[in-house]
Amino acid sequence: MARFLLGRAATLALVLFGASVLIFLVVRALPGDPAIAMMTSNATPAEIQAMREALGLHLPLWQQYLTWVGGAVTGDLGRSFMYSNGVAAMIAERFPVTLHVSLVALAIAMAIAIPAGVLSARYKGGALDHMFRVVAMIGISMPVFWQGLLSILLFAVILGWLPPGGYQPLSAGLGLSTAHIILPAVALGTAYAATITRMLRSSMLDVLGREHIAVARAHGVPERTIIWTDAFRNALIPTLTAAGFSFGYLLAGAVLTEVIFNLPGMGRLLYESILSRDYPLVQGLVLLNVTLFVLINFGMDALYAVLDPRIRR
Amino acid sequence: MDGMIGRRGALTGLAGILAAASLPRSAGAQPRGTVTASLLGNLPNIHPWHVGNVETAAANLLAYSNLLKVGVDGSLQPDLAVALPQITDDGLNYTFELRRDVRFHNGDRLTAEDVLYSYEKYLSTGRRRGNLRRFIADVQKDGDYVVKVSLKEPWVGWMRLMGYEAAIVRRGSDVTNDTATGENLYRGSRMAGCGPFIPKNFQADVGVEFEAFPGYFGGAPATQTIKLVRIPDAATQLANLRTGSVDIISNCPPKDFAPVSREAGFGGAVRPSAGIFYMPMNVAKAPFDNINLRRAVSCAVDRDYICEEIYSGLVTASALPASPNEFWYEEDLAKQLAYDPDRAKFHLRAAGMPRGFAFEAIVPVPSAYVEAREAAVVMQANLAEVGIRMNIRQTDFVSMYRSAQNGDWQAFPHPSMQSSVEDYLIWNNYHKDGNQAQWMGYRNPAYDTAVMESFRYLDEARKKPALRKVSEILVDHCPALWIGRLNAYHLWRADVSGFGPRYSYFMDLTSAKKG
Amino acid sequence: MPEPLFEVRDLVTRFRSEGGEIRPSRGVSFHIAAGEVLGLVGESGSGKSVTARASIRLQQPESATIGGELFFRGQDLRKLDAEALRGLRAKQIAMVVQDPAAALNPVMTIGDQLTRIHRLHGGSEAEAREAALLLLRRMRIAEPESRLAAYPHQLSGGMRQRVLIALALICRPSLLIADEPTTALDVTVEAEILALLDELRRELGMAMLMISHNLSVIGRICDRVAVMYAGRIMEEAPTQALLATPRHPYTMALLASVPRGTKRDGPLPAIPGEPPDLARLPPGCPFQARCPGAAPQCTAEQPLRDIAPGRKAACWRAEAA
Repeated sequence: MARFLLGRAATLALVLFGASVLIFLVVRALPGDPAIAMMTSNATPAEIQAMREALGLHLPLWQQYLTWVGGAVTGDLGRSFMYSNGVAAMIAERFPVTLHVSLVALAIAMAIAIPAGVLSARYKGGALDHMFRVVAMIGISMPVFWQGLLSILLFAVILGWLPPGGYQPLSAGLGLSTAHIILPAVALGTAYAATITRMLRSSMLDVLGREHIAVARAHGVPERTIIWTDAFRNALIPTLTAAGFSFGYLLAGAVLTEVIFNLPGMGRLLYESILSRDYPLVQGLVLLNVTLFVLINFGMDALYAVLDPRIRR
Repeated sequence: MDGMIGRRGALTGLAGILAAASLPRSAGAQPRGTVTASLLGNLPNIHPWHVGNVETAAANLLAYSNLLKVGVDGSLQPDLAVALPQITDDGLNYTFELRRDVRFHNGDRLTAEDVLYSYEKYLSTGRRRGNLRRFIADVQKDGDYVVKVSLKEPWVGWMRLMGYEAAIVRRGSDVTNDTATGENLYRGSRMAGCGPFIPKNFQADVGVEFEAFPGYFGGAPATQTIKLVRIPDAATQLANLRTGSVDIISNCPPKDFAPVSREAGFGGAVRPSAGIFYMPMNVAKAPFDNINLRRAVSCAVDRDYICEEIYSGLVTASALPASPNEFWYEEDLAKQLAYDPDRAKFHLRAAGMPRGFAFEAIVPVPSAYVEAREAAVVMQANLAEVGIRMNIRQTDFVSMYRSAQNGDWQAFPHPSMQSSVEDYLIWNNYHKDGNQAQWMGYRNPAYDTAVMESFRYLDEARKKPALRKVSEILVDHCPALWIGRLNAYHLWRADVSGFGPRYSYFMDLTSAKKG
Repeated sequence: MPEPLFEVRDLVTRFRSEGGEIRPSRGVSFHIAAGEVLGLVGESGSGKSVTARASIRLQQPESATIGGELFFRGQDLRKLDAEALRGLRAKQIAMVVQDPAAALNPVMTIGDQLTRIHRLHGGSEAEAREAALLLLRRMRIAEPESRLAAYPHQLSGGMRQRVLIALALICRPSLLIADEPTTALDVTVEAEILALLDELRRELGMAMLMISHNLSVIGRICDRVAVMYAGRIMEEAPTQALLATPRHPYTMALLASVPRGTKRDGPLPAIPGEPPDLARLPPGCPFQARCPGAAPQCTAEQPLRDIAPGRKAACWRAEAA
């Protein structure tokens, strides 16, 4: 176990190092200059140069990189150009929002996708399957922001049941917090539910065509047991990959959803930071996303081992 | 960026549905004594010396006061000063007398010492101080309640910036380690101002809450709490207004403005502002180094159509920098550049290109005020009718300015929200010392002289001849396609009073109240 | 003739594929008496596996439709509802297939898979476990206790096949469908498993439908043999009679292709020509294209008919041969 963890930690370190170099260079390859972004068009070239020096952008690249990475290993991700606050502190403020929405969205996605995927495979070609297919197509092709706006229109403006946006942490009370989180979580969750449903349906169909299902049927195992015990558990394994990546994307933040529902999450912060060429903030956010993706991958591996005895050692 | 455009188009459509949806409800109604207003753009700080957009300006106005302020119609009004200043005949020396009843948020009394301190800090740390630093030579006090400002060159326009970007703070109350990237910028300043409200909770990009300052020299504010919340989408702002979770919204899709403002339960108003929608052309580079081609472009664009169809009348069409309702608008000059395809063809022939030419327009997205891309598409169609091909390149503002500063541009149609036309359009763009003049590429000593002459006077009648000269030169050389002047417009719930759009575009919530 | 345990009349299966409608079984009839072993032999692609599975209403693929009559102890399986069919399968029918690695659920332990079949008949977990242990011992599996906790991937191929047979026998069925049960095994293991299967079959008095493309396997344990080609039964006879005096040209070709002197065959040594495309069959005898004695009469339908006591064939010159 210790060896396993050590190996994983080494992988993470390697990925983070590679990612840090890449992020650092890509951010700087963006056209435009953070100093200009901060000063806008009214500044003179001398003022812009002064700003560049204040931001440390006049230093050679390797020196800028070492400063950043040197801080990052001690947990200091530097200061945002635009907000002037510590990047780590800003992330600490924004990440709980995104994590909260993502978890609720994932729960909604799975709550929809599991029955929908299993039932549409069970009744392949039937009315239920066609209905789920149509709904999933709508779910996939309808942009999240559009679904979001429609849901705001219906539930906030017309019915007045839910607030039209904003974020309330759990500490503000479960009811209030949930009322704020539910619409964006549904908007995000249904989008991913569509993908996961299709994935689960096709792996269910794959498993249902396997020999052990025929044998179980020949031996009179009840259909319900065949679906949920024999087929579902086997079909869940590839589906988890899709769900894991979905969760990774959710954690990176969803810009449009955060804009429409006015959630101060990671996606919006990243979007703003790219627009304003806020190098330290972009770097910190992307590095966090990379870390989360790697960690989710580790978590998935652990889950596979639980679900699939063939993977266990 | 393309995604943003598609979304904006779709939002406009949905906003129509929203507009027709229902009567307002009060699901998220705020407690009495609180007015909540939404902002579209980012609110990275509430530092008085780092105002960078209309959002930070709105926050600044609540907490800080200056010697003068800009009234709703753009006129200068005394604020911390008892009256407008005495100005010497050479236009270089300004004498302000301070009110004696002003207290800072920390209870201290205002004296001339604080004004000196504030200007010194302001001029040395601000982000956008090009013009003030360029003009202000010295600030002196004469006793505790008289402040004298001397300029290097005469320019009455500097006073307008006071109500926008500068602030008077209690000396020594700012954080000592005040670098450009100080913690205080983010968390909100702990500096004591003397405005009607005191900043409480500030969360960058999310919102800020102000509490009434009972000791405000203008009398205690009517509202106990003012909240500014960021809602970065115009259609969503409208939804929030309808549910009552905000009382005032900064933006809404242009098409929704008129219908919603007429609905029972809502209010709204429009006012001309200093903002402009225009397309500078790079006079230092082909094809627009040819004056006839610039004129051809100017005559080929149907401004009325753009302003009515794309902006629902919220941009006032004008072929000149001045709006038709401003004192320095010149009807006869406007005609020379007005929409007239035959005249456009005439200019093309004069340029030796009767069959037209092609150029690239950089269109910024996303754009806070107007649907710049939709407008650009109409321009494209207009221009095509006379054989001019406008290729659109979309990019964000930072990239756009980068291209501009490298001289790597031909034209870029964009909206600009400004506190003063004088400061921005007349000076910045084309005067040889203007901050944008370097990349605008325009040089004309006669123009510079005319501008400096107009800067000497505050009085419109005395200003007008010089501005006539300025307009003549601009029309003659046509360094930009002027499309129209932006109007400031806001919507609010009917129970809100004491609030309206302003010439300076950003929101003044100092006297807003409910009930 | 006594009432057969299992009788299939005019079984037709069909499903749609890209090439058109496929009918892997085209009017197949056979019967099995209690305790009898019927072999179903043919080249791969002849439809024998689909036919055998369809005979107990297992559709493969799931979109396939089944026609005909399927009498089990005088009851038509096609008229049973899903629950009654399931109950019948649970008590009376079992299936062993070719690939034990695929036929066992990879994420369930051997013990769980065995006991849950036993428990379909009621009884406690402890009883089921006892029965499973007994059967594993009977299948000559070493250390049966520890095997119960194992997953299929932890066992060898031969061991998995024994487990699969145990799975089939644990409910003491009266009919076993054995779909190429030893094809995936090597020769020595194959002989061992076949012997074991035959031994247990006799002990339980179980009837069996043995599907194989391997005539030597068929010869060893079957009482009667039905030869299938392109979805039809071409010849049916007692095993010894069929092997000694085949009457249908296809049976003859099949026998001729078995290499003499070796027990083991690979894929069948060539019968000249290609197996027919099931989506595009010619009228009349499906074997005519490859038949050395093909004649104009072959384009007429060749029904399976009695040619001698206990023998049937579907060829107009079966008697002459």
